[in-house]
Amino acid sequence: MADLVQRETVAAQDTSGVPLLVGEEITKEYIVSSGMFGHRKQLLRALDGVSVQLERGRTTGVVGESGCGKSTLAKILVMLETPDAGHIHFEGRDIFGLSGAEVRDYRRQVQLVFQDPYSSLPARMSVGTILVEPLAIHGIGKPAERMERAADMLVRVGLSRDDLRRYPHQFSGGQRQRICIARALMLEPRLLILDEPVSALDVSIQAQILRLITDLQQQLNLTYLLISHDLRVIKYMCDNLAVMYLGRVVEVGPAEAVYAQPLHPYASALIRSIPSHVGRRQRGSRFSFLEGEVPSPLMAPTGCHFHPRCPLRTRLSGAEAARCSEEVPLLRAIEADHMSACHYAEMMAS
Amino acid sequence: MQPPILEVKHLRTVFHTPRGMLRAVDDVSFSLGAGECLGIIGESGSGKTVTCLSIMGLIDPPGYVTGGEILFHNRNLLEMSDGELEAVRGREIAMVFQDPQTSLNPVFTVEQQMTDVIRRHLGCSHREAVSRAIEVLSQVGLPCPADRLKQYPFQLSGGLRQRVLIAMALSCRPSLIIADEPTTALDVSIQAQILDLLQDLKSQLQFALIFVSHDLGIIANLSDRVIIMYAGRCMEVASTEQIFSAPLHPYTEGLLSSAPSMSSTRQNPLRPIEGVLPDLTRLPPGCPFAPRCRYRTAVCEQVMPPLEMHAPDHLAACHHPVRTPQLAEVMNG
Repeated sequence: MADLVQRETVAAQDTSGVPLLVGEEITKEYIVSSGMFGHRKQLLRALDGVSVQLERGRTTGVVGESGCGKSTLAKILVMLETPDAGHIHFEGRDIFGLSGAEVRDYRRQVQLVFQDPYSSLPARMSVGTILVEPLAIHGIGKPAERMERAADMLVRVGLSRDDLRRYPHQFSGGQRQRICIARALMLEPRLLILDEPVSALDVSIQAQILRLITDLQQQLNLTYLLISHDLRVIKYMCDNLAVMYLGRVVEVGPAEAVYAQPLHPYASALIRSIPSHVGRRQRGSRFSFLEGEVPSPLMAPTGCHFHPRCPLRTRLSGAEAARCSEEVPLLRAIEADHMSACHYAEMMAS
Repeated sequence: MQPPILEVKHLRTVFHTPRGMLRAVDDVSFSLGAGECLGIIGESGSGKTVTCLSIMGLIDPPGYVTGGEILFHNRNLLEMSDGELEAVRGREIAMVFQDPQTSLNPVFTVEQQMTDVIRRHLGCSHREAVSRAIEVLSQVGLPCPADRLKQYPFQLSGGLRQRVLIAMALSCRPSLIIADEPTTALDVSIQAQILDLLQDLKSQLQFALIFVSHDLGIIANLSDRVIIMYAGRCMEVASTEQIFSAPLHPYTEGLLSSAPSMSSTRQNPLRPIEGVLPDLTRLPPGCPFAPRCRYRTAVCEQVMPPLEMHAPDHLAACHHPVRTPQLAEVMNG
């Protein structure tokens, strides 16, 4: 409850009701070589008109299976990739129209935490050097001050000042993830993009990191974009949620509403496929609610990408079902701020 | 319960490392009935994979099985000659590994790899082996099995590769299948399909299944009985119902309250287990979980508690179980 109250006050401090970041119709295509000697060139559309809104001080989740484009979206938001189409507004300003100095400032404000804490820390640098580097790159503070800030940050993420002198290999996976989070926070960012931050960690350590992430959000008024394939983690952490499938957002809404009443057949099947240790199902009942596999993004189905696997489509008449394979469904509001990209989303609601 | 087909008694497996002797599996005992599904839950270094590899006789130096018995149909696998073991391994006991990308040989076709196994164990002709391969491939739900036989692993998706590996495990009609995290590398929807497949095959073919996972949700919904492992030790052994509704070991309790489930919300925050996983080369003399345990007392740091019966069919290795046995019995009705 205290948690909720604090959240409300944090939200109230932001007088501008504008979301921190708005991405509109982001499209990203890659040319991939295939065939013998890579002679055949094919177009892979990793993101196809994806729109996201990140509200201040909130956590927005992105879920989806391999190839849905969730990591490409993260790369575009931190400007590691440039989209082929679409706009991203941060604090109301288009980030692709920024000057060089402004781009540096944007990069300071938007930081990324990667999945694998083993490969995302340089092995030959001490923790102190790792944490100070972003400050040095951005020319913030004097060397002694920088080290002092690094020490404070280590304490904040649950490590000790003495750890500054140690090297990444001397830490466990959970501790390394704490160092990665500390590094991302050194520049006092406003938006943290967390790409599968606990997937590589053991169960008992996962919860420690999730709690750290939640605590830091409240203390530092951070906005989070949390990418995960684990719907249990997303449910626990997120205020809002976007479900992606083959480069498109198929459902967006408040996390509670999406889990209680999913409005896209894919989201619904995905949620029902998650085995849970609380509220176990009857012995011998089914785990799977989806047939087939996610098609290759190189051969994405026509119309609605999901139509060949859609359980809802089997209940439609021939003419209705034909629409799914012919017409791309638009993401539209079904209930207040709960949107679905299904031609027949109303059938899901009833 | 029927007489057990597998009984593991006081199994010990160690690895000699430059940093000293590492006790990967230390005094692990359990039994498995015919047709039963036993779930093993553990985090990294808990010894769950090494337990499976020890049963399969796949521990290579610097690792050694230094003690205990593994009785399969009352024959001790640890005392068998290599020849005798070959007749059991792959035929009566089969294993499905975690990573379908690396468990198939990339330079041979599915047919070559499958018929190798079948011919070796069943001693049949190539033609008979091919027809058996087609039969099991269709059993695991592979479309057009005859065409798949001609393909190489890289031509199959992760989900299909895992189906091929399950088919290979099934091909010699084993009575025990050991599946070590078979769905960890797969997407959510494919994971659910593989779990359904294993569940269906098990009820059709009546093999016993050891399913290893770190995912509490999968084990809770798949297995009949559960072993909780930590730092090479069995911490708790009980029915799935008892483990998830009335756990006795503080570690089990900690795992259940730290893993997010589909009913978790921030209003009811997760309670992580504090501390880090132990270094197996420097284990304390007492309970390996003691340094992280909320209930620890002086005795925990000195004496390893034996795995004891605290309630009917409910074993735990703890000096201070979180529930009194009486209460546990009440909760189980």
